[in-house]
Formats: sequence, C-alpha cells, structure tokens
Amino acid sequence: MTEPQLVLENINTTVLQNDQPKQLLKQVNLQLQPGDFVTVLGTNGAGKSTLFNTIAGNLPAQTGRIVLQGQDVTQQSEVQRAKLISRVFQDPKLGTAPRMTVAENLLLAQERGRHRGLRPRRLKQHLAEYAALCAQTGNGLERELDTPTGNLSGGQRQALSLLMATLKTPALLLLDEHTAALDPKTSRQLMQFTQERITAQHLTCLMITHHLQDALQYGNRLLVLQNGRIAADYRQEQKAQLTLSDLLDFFEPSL
Amino acid sequence: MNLIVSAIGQGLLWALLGLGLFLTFRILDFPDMTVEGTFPFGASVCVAALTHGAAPWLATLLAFGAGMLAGLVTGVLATKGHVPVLLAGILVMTGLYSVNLRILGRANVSLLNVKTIFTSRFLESLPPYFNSVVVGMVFIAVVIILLALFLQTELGQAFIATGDHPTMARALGISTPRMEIMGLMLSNGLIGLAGGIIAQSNGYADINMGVGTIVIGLAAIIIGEVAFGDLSMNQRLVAIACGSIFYRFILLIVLQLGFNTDDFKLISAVVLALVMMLPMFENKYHIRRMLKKGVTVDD
Repeated sequence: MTEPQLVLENINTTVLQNDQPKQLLKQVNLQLQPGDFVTVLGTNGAGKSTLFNTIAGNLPAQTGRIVLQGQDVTQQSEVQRAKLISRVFQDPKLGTAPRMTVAENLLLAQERGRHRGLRPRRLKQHLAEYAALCAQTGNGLERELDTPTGNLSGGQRQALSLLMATLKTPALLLLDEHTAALDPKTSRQLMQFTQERITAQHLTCLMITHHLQDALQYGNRLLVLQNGRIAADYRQEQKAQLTLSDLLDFFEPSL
Repeated sequence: MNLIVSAIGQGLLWALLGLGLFLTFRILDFPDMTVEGTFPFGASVCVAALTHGAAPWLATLLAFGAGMLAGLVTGVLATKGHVPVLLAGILVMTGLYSVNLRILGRANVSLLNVKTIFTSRFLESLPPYFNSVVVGMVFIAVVIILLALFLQTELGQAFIATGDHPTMARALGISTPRMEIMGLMLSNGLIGLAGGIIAQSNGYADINMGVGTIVIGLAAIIIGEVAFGDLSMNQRLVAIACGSIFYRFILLIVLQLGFNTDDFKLISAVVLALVMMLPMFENKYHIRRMLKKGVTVDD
C-alpha cells in the first residue's frame, strides 16, 4: 500500500455563531491515495465547505491531525499550506485578481507558495507557454492574455482559475462547486477540462458538487456528508454501481 | 514666465507625495491618513538633521527613513493589531504631531544660512526657480524608474495582487499582512522624502505643513487619471507626475483670477471634489456627448 496523499484524523471543527459554539465537523476521518479523485455531496450546511476550509487552513480544527504528502500541516497557516494545496471556488470573482491580466495572474499562480523576491518577473518568456495552455480551455482564453481578468466571462475566469490552480502541480486540488455558477454548456465544458487536467497530472482532488450526475460520472470515489459527518463513502466498484436514486435517498429521506 | 517655471518645479517636487500615496490609495486600496503626519515628520527630521550639521544628502535620506518608520507603525497597528487602517493612520498622524514638535523644538524652524540639497554652485547659477525643476526632475526620474522596476518583480507583483484581491493572494501563498506593511512603509517613506525635500525647497519646516497634503497627493493621482484615461502601470506613474504639475497650473490660474492665498485649501478641496465627481456627471449628463454635439437648443 502506498503512502496516503491526505490523511484527516479525528477532525472536529467548531465555530462561534452568535456567541454559541456550533460544531460543523464531527469526528471526520479520511484517507486519500495519490491520484484519488473524490466527489463530495451533501445538503447545505452538511459541512462540505467547512471541510475544505479546515483542510486549506482557513478554519482551525479543534482536534485531530492533517497530514499531506507525509507532512503534518495541522499547525500551518493558510499561506504556508498554499505550497501544497490549491483551490478553485464557486464564485468566479474569488479566483483571479480582476485588475491584473490573464498572463499576470498565471505568473502569480506559477509561484504559488514560493518565496517572492526582487527577481524580475519575466512575463514575456512565459507568454508562448501560457498561450498554449490557455488554448486547451477551448473558450478563447488564449486571445485574452493581456486582458484584465475582470473583463472576462464567468466561464473563462473559472477555466483560468483551474489553470492557475494546476499550473504548479498541487499535492491536493480542492474544487468547491467550481462549475455551479456557469450555464449548463459552459459547466460541462469546464468539467471535461477539469477531468483532462486531473488525469494528465495525476492529481489528487476533492470536488464538492451539487450536480448528482457529475458526482456519479466523475472520480473514483464518492463521499456524502451529513450533519458534519461522513455519512457514506463509496469506493471504485461500489461507486460504479451507484444510481441517481441511491443518492437521492440521502437528500429526500423517505418518511 | 517665472510663475510657470515655479509651478513646474513645485509640481515635480510634490509629485513624490502623489507617487507615495498611489501605493496605498490606489494599489492597496487603503485610505492611509498617516500621510498628514508623515509629511511634516520627514520635514522635521530633515531640517533638524541639517541644523545639526548633517550633510544634505544624509538629512534627505533620513527623511525617507523617518517616513518608513511611520508607515511601519501604521502597518503593524493595522495588520497585527487589527485596528482599521483609517483609524490606525489617524492615530499615528495625531501622535506624530507631538513627535514633530519635539524634533523641531518649536513650531517653525528656518533653514536660513544652512546648507541644503539646493545649495550648489550649479543650481545657484540657474535662472530663478529652475533649481526646483532640476532637483524635482532628478528625484522623480529616479523614484519612477525604481518603482517601475520594483512593481515588475515577483515581490512587486505579489504586492499588486494583495491590493487587487487579498483572498486570492493568500490562497497563492502570499503573506498579505507582510505586503501591506511593506506598502505602507514604502509609501510613507516616499512621503517623508517629499516632506524633507519640500522643507529644503521652502527653506523651513513648519509643524502645520502636513495639513491638506492628502488632498494634494490625491489631486495629482486623480488629475493624472482623468487627463490620460486607461494606462499601463508604468504610464500611470508618469501620469501622476504630470497630474501634480497640472494641479499646480490650476492653482496658478485660480491665483491669477484674484483669489486670496488663504483660500487655497478650500479651493484645492473644491477642485478635487469636482474632478472626483466628473465620472458621475459624465454618466448622468453625458457631458462628452453634449460637448461633441455642440450646444444646440433642441426646443
């Protein structure tokens, strides 16, 4: 058995809401193998985003340990963990710097987690490489290299966010409903592109989605979160046999 | 003629202030009020050093260092102490008033018969007011080139990204508090430097010389933006220097119209307010379209 890529051990996360402690994650244990592509389902408030925030370091875990690529990151800040983790958010506005151009954003992402000193940025040297990269998205991003990202369409911005997240291969890619804000066609395109990037780089990935079909179609493992716990965990073959109605049971419990 | 040369010279010297302000107000999107304390702080430190016999270049450099120190305090209050930036700046500005009085010893210190950066055979051989044009040109050129180079480094890009989108910057491993402190230090350093140079140009430092400096700096930035429109980062730096000179011309015209110099600050504020509202008027009344059409009476 290979060393797991991500280990979550007995994670409990509590936040204060109106001065009342509220436990959002309860006793979460999880191990991902390198190359695992895991889809995560759950109703609103089930703890999906909390899970991501805890892994990425935005929220501290009250108990437990987080180990990434054999490295204990439990005490590391979000900024320190950025060396290993990259993330794409649901809101296209969250992933890119709006007044900086597409190429400048890519350059920033290329240095994710690296020390940034007084070296010249050498943007021109990378332009050809970035153009080729952007051409893969199939939405004309390669023609917008010098456009501030604030002027791009939502689909283009999300594709760019995904490129930025995977430009420097992360130990863990977190996709937080990254297609949810897009129209169905653009959303399908981006999911296909996501699959290509994940396969090509053999990425380990957790993907939150509300789209049950996507959850079934993509990835080799499926988690269902309920009330801050992992309620179901389907591996390879189990996942292959899952049907839409099996999943719907989680969301519309029969009375 | 002398008035025009003087306006250009003053515009260039004061452009340093606009460039400093640009780093916080525009790039970081921080309303940094420290400025009104930093400017006289730089002036006080510079003048005190000069009257104690320091070499002019050293005194000028000390003004820069003093400004950076003020920026550091505001930055630490804002990032580590979680004091809102606006308030942190006001606190430092208020505190600096006392510090400046201590440094100067009294409200106004003259540089009469003291050697300054303007004391040189070459500068004194020039026609009147050309000395500030030359000194201003040199400082502005050096500062703009260094800033432009800096903003194109990996660190500079991380700094810009921090101002543009702090959440994204952190997700990419950029320590945003560090960038914010650095920006405030650099910005206030330049403003302290401006204070030091302008004190030497005026021939004195005054405890109240900081009042209204934010308006002057913002005027340079905003007039530059309104005059030149969409620009690249490097061009924007040059536009600030031009904006600063334009602002001096506007004041010159106002003065020629017969206004009292006592009303300068009110006029400055009104001019800036009008310039800032221009985009709003533009949207509402389509001034440009109206101007193109000419003033024709429809009904």
